[in-house]
Amino acid sequence: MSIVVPLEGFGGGGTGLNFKVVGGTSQPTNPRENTIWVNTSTSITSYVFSATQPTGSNGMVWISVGASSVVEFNALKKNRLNVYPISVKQYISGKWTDKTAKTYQNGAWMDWAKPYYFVEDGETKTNHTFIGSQASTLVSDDGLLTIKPSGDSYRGLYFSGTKIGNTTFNTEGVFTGNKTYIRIWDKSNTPTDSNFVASAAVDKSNGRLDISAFADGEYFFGFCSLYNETNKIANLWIE
Amino acid sequence: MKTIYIDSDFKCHIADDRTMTAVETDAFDGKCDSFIEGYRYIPVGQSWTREDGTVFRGQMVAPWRDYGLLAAAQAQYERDQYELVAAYQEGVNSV
Repeated sequence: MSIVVPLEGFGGGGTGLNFKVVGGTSQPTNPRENTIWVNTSTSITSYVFSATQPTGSNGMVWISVGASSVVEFNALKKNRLNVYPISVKQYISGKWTDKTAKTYQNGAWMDWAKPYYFVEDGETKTNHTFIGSQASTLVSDDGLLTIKPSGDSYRGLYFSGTKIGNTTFNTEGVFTGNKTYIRIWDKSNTPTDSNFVASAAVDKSNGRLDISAFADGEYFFGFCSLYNETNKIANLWIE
Repeated sequence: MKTIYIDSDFKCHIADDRTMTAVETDAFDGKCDSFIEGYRYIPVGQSWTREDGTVFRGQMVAPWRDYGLLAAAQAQYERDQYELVAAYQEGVNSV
């Protein structure tokens, strides 16, 4: 049976350890299996695997662990101790700062973030809310979610989602309008067509928004267009 | 609508150092300088490649600095503006 355990105080990957934690702003070349690369410009002084926030010291990397990990690994060369990393923070100037990380496994660098779909193959995967007081038309058919806003100005829909290590917000489908966007809103405000905190235009087939500067946590993720545009979403997701 | 300036990395600035590109946008209406300068603005027709190789096409407006810090700066700016207006109104009312 695999269990998640907190590990503390392992330094530079000495005898018996089957992984290594390295820092830097460039992806390491010639990595070994289970090399964990933390994208940071601050030197890593120590690292801790823990499900709960440890007491920080400058430069310490805290690798939080949990069952949602997609980069689990055996920490030991002999015997077995499975570790389930999900996200990473570094203690810099007195506070924990979100960082991104990847693990080198089976010949490739693996993102830690688990993709989360709001719309997948034209079906909504979680509850949505329409932007504005007038409902849009939603029809799911043949792998596409057709959305046609009603009323005027920008309309659309949004979903509540939790970002855990995710760095991009994406959509793909068939988009005919020229004023179509994917957007993210702060959880403290009810989304409108103007109070978004990040936005990316969508072209005829896809759109992508950089969300790497947002700390892990809950946000609203949505899709907007002008009232008289009809768009078909195949997928809407964060990764 | 206001004029901002973007550098070669598409980071926003409120003043041009003579190397930047001017952009007219309403994306930052009501936002303080600290907030604006924590954002990246990619115009339509251009693209930016993130450190990990992911390509983003314009138009995109997204923070490059920790959004929590930007939100805190904006909140302080709005509090300061409110107090300024309140003090002004108090002064007007006292006349």
